[in-house]
Amino acid sequence: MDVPVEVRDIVARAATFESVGNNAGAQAGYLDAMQRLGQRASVFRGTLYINLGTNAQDAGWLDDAATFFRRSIELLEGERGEAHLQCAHAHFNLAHLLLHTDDPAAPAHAAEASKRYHANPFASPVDRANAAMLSVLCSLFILNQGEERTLRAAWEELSTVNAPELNRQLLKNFLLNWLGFNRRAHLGDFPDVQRAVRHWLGNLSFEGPVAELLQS
Amino acid sequence: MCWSREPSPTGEWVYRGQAARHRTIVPLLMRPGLHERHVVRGLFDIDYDVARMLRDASPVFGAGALHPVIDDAAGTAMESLSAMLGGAPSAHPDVSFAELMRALAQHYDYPTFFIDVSFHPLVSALFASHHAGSDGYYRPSDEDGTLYRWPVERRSARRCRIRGETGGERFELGVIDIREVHALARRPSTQHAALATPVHDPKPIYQPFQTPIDRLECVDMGALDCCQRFELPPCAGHTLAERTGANLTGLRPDRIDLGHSYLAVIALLSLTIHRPEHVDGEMASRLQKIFDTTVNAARALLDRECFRLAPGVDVTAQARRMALVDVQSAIHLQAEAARRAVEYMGTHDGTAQVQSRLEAKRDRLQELATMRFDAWKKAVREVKGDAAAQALGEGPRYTVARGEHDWVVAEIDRRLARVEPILDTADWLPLWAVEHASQAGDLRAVLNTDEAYEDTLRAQARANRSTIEALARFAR
Repeated sequence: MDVPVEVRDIVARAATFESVGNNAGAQAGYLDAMQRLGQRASVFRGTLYINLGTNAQDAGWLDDAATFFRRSIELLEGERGEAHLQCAHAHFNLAHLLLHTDDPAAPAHAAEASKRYHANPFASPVDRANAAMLSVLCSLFILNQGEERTLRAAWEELSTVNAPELNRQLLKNFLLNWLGFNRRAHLGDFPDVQRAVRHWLGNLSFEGPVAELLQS
Repeated sequence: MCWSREPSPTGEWVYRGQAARHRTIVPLLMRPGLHERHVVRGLFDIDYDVARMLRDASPVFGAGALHPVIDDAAGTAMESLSAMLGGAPSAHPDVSFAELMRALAQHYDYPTFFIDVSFHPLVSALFASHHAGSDGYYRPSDEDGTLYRWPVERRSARRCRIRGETGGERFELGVIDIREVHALARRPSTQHAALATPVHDPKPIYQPFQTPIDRLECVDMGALDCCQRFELPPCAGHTLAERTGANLTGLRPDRIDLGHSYLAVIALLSLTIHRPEHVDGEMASRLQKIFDTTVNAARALLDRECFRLAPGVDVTAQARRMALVDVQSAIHLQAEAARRAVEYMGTHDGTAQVQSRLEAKRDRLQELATMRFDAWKKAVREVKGDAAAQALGEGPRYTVARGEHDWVVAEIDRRLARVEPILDTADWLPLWAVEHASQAGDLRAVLNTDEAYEDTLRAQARANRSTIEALARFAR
């Protein structure tokens, strides 16, 4: 990855801006780095677009964020090695963003992220579990399709990782559906499911409907 | 080569081969230029804490798998006492971690006070009859070569000694046997490696400064009366390679050598990252964070190397936690920061600041040593008189010469250049998958692959395997 040191410096400075909430400064830095790279280092630029996307998402510039994630996928698509994993992150971020806007493209991006995370040996189990939850939620909210098989597979995937490491927003919505489904479909086994979820969550607590489902 | 079948008077021989035009056998660090730069500046030293952290976290070399080292309470106490006195715990049957790391450093081309020797005559004969090309690979040489051997007395499973006489004086040189090193540290393992220590530091104990080169005692191992030599004719390398099937590519692999990857990263980090030892407050926590990030980046990179080179080793959580792009950034940015720091040291302000810091460090060291040092002086005065006791107080001052920074920056770049190929290959197809193509189907879809790269790896792996087989045949 042929990236000059001064560009790495600019990116490091922009990342610092992003971490302290200076989203405009961070975006300017990332775009400056992008301009200096020109057509070189496409994998690095693809990764940089992910940074631009997450930064724009934090700032509330959702249209910009979706554009940046799509640009990242264009650059990383078909690449292997590190780019393969980064492309999975881009698909995941885009699917997560599109889920909030009820965009019909969300399920396809979630499925692609999940597929890539499962194929790549460097993908973290936490990323795989987050992608599994996102796929389920996209099917439920956008396609209005909910299958017991996919819900169960997602639960098995995420129950192998530490609950606090998962995306809390996705986890809350997933648990609402997982517990709700079990109460509706398998009332006899529901106390066992509740116990298993409570044991897995440990000290992690939720308020509102999830808490009610866990206690009922 | 018939003398190789003569029994050793002590039971075992160690061998060394080098081109006949080199008349003496002395370590690289005894060359005045290198000695001043590496030893007096402390740059040759491995950062043992960092090395230990990386070894302990390694999925391949962890849990004592790299090589057994001293780990009992008495041995550890002996090791720290020896380190304080500036020596190795040679009375202990095991080797210390510091000795092991320096031994490995010697094998992976970082200068030390050791001399490479081997328990296998063919290894040394190959080194005597090959020369290194500009690309770092050894090829059969047209020059004469000399094969040396010394009888060694075994003191323990990992320590031996060579006893001999030269210039009317008797010497006893320590030899450490590291043949038990992990097989994936391929160079020392394939070379049946041992390291001789012909350099002796006669400095008075408790003297906390580096000894200047002219006060070190170094024995020319070729001049010892117990040394036997065997001249190899020109072009012997071709004949040896043809008859035995062993070759130097097999004895000195790099991209398929996990030990090479570890030493390259450890050597770079030893020069570029520093714990916040002399600062407090916010600066200390910032430096600590940088230190931790860089160590974690190194771990993530080396864990990827373990996955690339060791069949059956899974990707670790650390390798998953840090993306390769972040690993590359952390290592490059830290190298750049070290370069800038060294350049700043070359300016007038920087020189003054560093000089005062080094003097403060020296004062602290002196303060710590004073009590024991005074007791030692008193003892010396009683035995040898005042002049000898006063001489104990002398020592070179730490100085930071302007202009030296160019060389240090070049050394950082040299070490970074050894890590670059590791960063480049970190997301390529694992070697074990190249060797067992039937298992590689899934990985080929997601990991980078390159025909030329795979060919190089295959050739290196083949050479390595045939060399090991040839050495085993020869030993039988």
